[in-house]
Amino acid sequence: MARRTALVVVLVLSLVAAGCGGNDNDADPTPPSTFAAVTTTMTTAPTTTAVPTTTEEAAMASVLLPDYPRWETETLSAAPERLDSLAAGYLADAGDEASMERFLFGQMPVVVFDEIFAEGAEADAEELFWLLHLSGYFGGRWLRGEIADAQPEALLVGFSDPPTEASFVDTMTRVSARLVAVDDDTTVVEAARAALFDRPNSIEGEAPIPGVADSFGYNVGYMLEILATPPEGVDASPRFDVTCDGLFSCSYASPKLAVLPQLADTQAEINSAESSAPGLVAELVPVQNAAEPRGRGVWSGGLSVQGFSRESYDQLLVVSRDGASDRSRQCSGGDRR
Amino acid sequence: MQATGLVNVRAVIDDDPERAKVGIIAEAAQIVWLDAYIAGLTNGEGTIELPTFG
Repeated sequence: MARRTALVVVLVLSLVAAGCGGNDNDADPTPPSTFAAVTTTMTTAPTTTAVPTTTEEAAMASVLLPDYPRWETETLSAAPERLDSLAAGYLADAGDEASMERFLFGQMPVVVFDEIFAEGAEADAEELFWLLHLSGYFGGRWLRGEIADAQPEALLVGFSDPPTEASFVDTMTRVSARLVAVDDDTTVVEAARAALFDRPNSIEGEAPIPGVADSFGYNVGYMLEILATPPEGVDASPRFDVTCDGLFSCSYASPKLAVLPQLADTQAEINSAESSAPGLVAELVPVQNAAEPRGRGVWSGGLSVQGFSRESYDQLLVVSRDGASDRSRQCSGGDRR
Repeated sequence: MQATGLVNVRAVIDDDPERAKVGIIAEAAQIVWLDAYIAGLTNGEGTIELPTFG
């Protein structure tokens, strides 16, 4: 078991990252032959990949889901009608540029996080979490396929750690703990402060679980390295330009999250000489800065985007940009480093 | 991450429980996305099949 855990750590470190993800995937070493998912939410995708192109087709659009890992939980709530509605809206706007990748890993998580930041505790978190579960899982599958195509000798391609119920339950337990924290007005601010910092890992000997500052720094490094080393013959589009300088402080050529402009004053304030929280900032900056080289190392330490098509490279930049601005770090074994 | 970090920092500065709730739910959402992402990335079983529009 320890060797398996070590392999996961090495793999995760060398390829996608130094530091995210679940921490108990070794609880069940026997992968299921198929996911013990909640079958009522699963459909089988047809072989066609056609994208609805007319207004009428877009309005009638649905999303057909292949198998994905999901077990009984009260923390996720399947919302297929909502997914279909989001898809219909996306298709109506995207026209000929529409693709499942752009929808599922690009537009949909932005919509979900916009809702979270707009509605907070009033948002239907369980449904939104289900949408993000789909976005994350199929985003990971997509990147695995891209790496396999571009770099068939990459370590990841020969490695497999299928999802288990134990790892799923671990994730849901950690998420549920956050929802419990939201219910206590007397401690919720302290919980928000604690989320900014790394946390001890419940597994003895394992690295701390990255907090928000660590994850942001890591994602910045990940994103900047991809931008700095595009596939041969491909230039990063100016729409992905970004400048990062300071605590939680990147400026994007094409920001997607609606809440970011509303946070510009906070971003400027905490990075100014007149910061209203100099102690907090002084604690967080080293954490963020220490994480950035680890993020860069994902794409400079054995893995690269060489061989990626222009389309795939752009898609990876979309995911990276949106991850740095809102979502979590892009790759790796999360709570492992 | 940037938005979550800024919301949480703002909540701490202002001692604002409502803003803190937003930041914590956003952090929880990130956990969901990330853990699912890792699960997909490291799952080498079967043919990679993505959802489709129907």
